[in-house]
Amino acid sequence: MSELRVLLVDDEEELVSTLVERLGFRGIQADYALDGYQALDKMKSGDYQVVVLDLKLPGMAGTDVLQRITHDYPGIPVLLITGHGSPVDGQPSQLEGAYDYLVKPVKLDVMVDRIREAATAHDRQ
Amino acid sequence: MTDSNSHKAEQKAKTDVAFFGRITASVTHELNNVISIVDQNAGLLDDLVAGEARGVPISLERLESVSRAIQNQTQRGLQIIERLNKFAHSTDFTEAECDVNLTIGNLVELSQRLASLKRMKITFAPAQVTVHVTGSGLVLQRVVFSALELALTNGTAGTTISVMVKPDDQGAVVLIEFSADSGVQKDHEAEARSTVEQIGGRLEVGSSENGVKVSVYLPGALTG
Repeated sequence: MSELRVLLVDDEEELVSTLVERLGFRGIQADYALDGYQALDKMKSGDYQVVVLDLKLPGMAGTDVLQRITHDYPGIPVLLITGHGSPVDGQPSQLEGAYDYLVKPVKLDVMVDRIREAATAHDRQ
Repeated sequence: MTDSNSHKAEQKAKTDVAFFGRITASVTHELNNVISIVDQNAGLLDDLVAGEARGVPISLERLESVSRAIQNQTQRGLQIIERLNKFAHSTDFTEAECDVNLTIGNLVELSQRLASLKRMKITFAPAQVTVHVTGSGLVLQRVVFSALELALTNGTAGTTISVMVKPDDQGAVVLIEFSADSGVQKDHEAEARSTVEQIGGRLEVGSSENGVKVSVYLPGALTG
């Protein structure tokens, strides 16, 4: 079975680089982008099965990145990462187009489960 | 209190709360990032130990680098908490002697994440002498932030906002310089001007070597 390929999008490089290493130990081949522009650039060549996207990004907003990905790559599930209290409490429309959301700080086991669920949903399409 | 004064007081309380919420939301998001990094690095240590148990040796350098990452983030978190604590205590008194250098310096640091989301940075240069104004520390920061927000909203991505404090005959002046490809939107300027005038200050928007220069003249005693 080939490894799952995941793109993590978050501007905290120390966080995503650590996640890449830990996901690797769990059979998930992850790559990261530090802003929306890098993410869209990597999407062109990455052949990713799941995207994990922080809503708070420098420059292009996470919601705009989500729209672009769901428009350009309609089959690829996007898991959103939000801070406490958002978006379900305030702006549920931010979830539109996303497969699901996770609240920061995210436990790795939870993230792995959601990534696998999303990838399975993607494979069924 | 007349209806008009009561309405003004209510409006002021609302704007103070909105400003407080804006800053604390941004800073606690950053704190959340710090906790996440510490949590993932602690988890990475567990992963490495589990690997060792399966016969994958851990290098001393790797352990040291994870430990250093945790220490650095702990330090970062403590700095954020200290700044946030100072900010929270600025609500303690409605009438206090505020050190403009310290108060605005702290506000600038608390605003760095908002700037980074706009792909900008803020530098701060205090006045060479101690400058005080009397009034509410929270109101002082809200008023200066309204001018800083002109830079955050209208400034060019990838550039630096410079904030300086200087003494003034009346009280103090806070100078904010930034690049803005399309200048400052008039409605934004009018809103910031109105905010500054409410405390008896004056706002001027002009040009500088770097682009736009916003001067916030603070009275010795903040009114309103």
